[in-house]
Amino acid sequence: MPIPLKYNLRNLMVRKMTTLATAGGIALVVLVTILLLSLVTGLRQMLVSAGSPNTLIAMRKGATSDVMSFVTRDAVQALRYLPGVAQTAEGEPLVSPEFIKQPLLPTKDGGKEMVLVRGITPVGFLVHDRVRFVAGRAPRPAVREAVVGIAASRRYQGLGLGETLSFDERSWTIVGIFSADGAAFESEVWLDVGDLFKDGTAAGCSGVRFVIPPGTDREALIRRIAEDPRISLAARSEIDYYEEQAEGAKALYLLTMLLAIIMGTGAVFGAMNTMFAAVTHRTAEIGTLRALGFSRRSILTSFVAESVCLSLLGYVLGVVLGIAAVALVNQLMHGVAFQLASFSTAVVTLRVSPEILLLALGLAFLMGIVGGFFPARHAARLRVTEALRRA
Amino acid sequence: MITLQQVSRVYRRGADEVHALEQINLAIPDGTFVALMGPSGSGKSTLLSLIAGLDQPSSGNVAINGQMLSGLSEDQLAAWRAAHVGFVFQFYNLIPVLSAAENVEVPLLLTRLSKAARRQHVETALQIVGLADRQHHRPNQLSGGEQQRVAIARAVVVDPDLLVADEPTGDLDAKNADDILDLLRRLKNEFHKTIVMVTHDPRAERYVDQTFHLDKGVLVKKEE
Amino acid sequence: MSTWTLIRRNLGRNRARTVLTTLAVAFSIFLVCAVITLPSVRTSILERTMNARRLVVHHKFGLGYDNLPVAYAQRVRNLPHVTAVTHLTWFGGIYSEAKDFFPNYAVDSETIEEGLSEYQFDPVVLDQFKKIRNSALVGVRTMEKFGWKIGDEVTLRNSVWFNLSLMFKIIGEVPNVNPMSATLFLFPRQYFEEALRPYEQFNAGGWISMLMVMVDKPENLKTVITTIDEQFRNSSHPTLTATQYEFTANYLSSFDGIIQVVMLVGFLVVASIVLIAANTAAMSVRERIGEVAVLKTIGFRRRTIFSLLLSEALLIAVLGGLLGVIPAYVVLNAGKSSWSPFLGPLTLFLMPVSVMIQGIFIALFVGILAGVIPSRGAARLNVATALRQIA
Repeated sequence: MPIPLKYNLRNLMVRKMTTLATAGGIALVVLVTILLLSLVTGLRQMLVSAGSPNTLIAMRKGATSDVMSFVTRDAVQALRYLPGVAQTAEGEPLVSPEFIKQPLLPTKDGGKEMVLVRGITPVGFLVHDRVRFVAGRAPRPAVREAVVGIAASRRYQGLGLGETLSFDERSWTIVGIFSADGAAFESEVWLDVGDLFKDGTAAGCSGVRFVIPPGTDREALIRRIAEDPRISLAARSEIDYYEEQAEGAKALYLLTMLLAIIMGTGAVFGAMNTMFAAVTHRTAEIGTLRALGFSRRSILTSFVAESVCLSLLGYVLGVVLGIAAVALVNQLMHGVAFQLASFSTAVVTLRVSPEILLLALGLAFLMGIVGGFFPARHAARLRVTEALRRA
Repeated sequence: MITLQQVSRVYRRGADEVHALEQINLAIPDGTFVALMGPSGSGKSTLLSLIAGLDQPSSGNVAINGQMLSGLSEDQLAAWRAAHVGFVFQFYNLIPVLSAAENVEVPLLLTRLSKAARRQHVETALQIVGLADRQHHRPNQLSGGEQQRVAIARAVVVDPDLLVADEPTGDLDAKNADDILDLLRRLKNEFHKTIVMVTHDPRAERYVDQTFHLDKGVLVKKEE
Repeated sequence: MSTWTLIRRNLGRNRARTVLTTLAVAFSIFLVCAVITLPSVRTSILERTMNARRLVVHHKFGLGYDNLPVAYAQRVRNLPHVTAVTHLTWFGGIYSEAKDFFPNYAVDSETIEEGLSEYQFDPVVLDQFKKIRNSALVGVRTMEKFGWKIGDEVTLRNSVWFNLSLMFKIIGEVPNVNPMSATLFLFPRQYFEEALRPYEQFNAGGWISMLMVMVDKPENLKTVITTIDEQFRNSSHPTLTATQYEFTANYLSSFDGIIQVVMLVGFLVVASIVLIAANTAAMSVRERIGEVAVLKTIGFRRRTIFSLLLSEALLIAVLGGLLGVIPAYVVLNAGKSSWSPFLGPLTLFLMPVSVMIQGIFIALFVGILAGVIPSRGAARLNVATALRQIA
């Protein structure tokens, strides 16, 4: 017969300080896990959500990012009229040549960072179909207008709506602020590609994004682009491209899990301490329960259950603190800045997902079970007569 | 000489005032063995605490060998106890992680004696209580009577003038209780200790020089 | 016997608890060390790459914006107070995969010795570096990472400079003077210029990324900065000159966000050990209230009791600290450090001894924080009441 859980809950209530301290230790592990995993999730979201399966990106062969690439104007022209490339209703190819510059811009904290400035054409906004304007509108060409991602707008000086961005002896009026599902684009500045060059013309661009209609044989098209002597570019789907970029986030994810596990181990020792003390404190009670006829197994289960209750209390506490901490980092620090392989800065917004909460729950549960098992076994193995004598 | 003049002790328990002792006047000459008896709650333990310098009276004076205890700070009291009082408890209160000899040595840590001198004192004390051969045992390896004798050795090791015992036989069988009472009487006779003992044990009357009876915080006349 | 014996024996009283607590502290301090290594690497990069007389000159809008004409080197060399000038050109070569990043530059073999004097290049190696067309000097970390050794021939791919693939012969190591230098890959500029010759029509040759300028006296840095930037202000390639310290600090400032998060995590880890350790200290004091009362009765003063109990907590903390710090030092220094995606040079870590010392101090701090309250409570115990409770 199992011992009622109420007995354990009462005991936890009686030892209020100890219960709180132990649950607090577990809560902090949960908090750190949530904080770090939401950072990694935000990072992955930033890279992966940028990709759309029907958008391809063409770059110079060997280039690992469009920042490192160069595509000639002739190649862009050839690409525009390649069969298999989607067009607008008006017959305009959905091909977006983009030129990237990375000027140093002042941050609101007084530093200077490389910011990715993307020169695009009006069709670019049709190709990047995830981009939504949260304020203002798209820039018009040739009148020095720019739009900025929301993360960039928060982080750098003079990037608010209606303000003026200046570099290279020229200036642009900010006419719009956009979001992009948390993608790295949100840390960028977009303006008309023609305006990016002092003489108004570019010899080419960094990379080309283009849309293919659903159902197109993507692989064949990619092969064609590589083999066509007029183009000779490496194309890949945006999804693959960003998966590659997110490769580095995997290491961070593993590091985070390792951190959580090491910290969790420390907390397990704390929980074990508490449970051992609980067992010692209640030796006589255990003897009585055994004398009354409760089996060893029910004693074992009872103490493990008590430890799990303790860890669940810690979990709840940790989730509340964790969500608060994530909100705090997002609000006060405007997210966390990372440096991309291209050396430009991208701001990550921390994201708590149900998966993270579930993972943290698993971790808390594990801490409860492991922390409770050995003390519980010790309690279950007590000899009845001896335990009673210690009354 | 222990003198108590007009000593009262009032506790506050929540909103209530508890008059544990009222207007006690008492004089115990040096080298006497006295027992304090009375029902529980009569104030005998409070009286013992006052004599031992563990507690201060709410009013009145306690003087031990001319030393007024009232007005001493907590640390001054601690230093006074370390030099002048030895304690024996009902449950022995030995430190479980230390051996018999080490337990006896604990009060000597408060003195400036050399290691060798401390060793010497410990051995003497253990010889007096007849446990020289058990000195390396831990408390849990000793019987109740033996533990109490270690506790007595710990009480006398600094050679205090006053020994204070709180129910020293309360947890012992008849044989061991007699041994302990006899040991205490010997300490009075051979080493001229003043001993104040709180007890319920009726056989104590055969060993002590004088018995004080307390009831509801006041001393009552002996019915002889 | 001494008071020390008492402390030691008390630690042995509940061996399981002492061991568990020590381990909890050890695990946490291990983590804290790992975590504070990150900011300490930042500091050490800053301090050790700094030369008080050096200026760095790059394009006004940043390294990622544009290059500078190579002729600038000579023009700066002729300025007053300038004692040496050398230049570096970012090659952006990749050996295996893009994520295995290491910085590689084309350098001027004639001026590198005076321009980067703290490297103290071996004269024999330097002589070879000047003579062998495709020679390369490689930092020890990069050599280890790819399993290269002196005499090996390696090919670096590239997409920044016309997809050049260049084959190099490793002739020596870059002296290991700071965390960054150990990852460098340097090769003579002439080889690079020769390889660019076929692309003359694109104006490919004659560019550099930055100038390293040595100034005669630190007091003259300001003047030289102004002179350089004034001189090129109206040219097609304006410059931005900064002291090496400012340059590095500015580069590292984009990692501030992640460092703040990491410090927050470190703080939380410390908080969790404080909870665990305080709980343990409270439990062990509570169990021993009777003994404390006896010691007080015998005449031990408050202060003695307080230090007795506090010493126990401190001992556990310091022991745990040592058990955390030493493995941290071994483990963190065993890994081959290299540049990492998103964290850039911050993972060029080697845990410095100073972090070990900090770890021990943090452990000590934890011990004090955890031990003070329960110990003080016990020291202030009212003996008369306590004795009544146990009697």
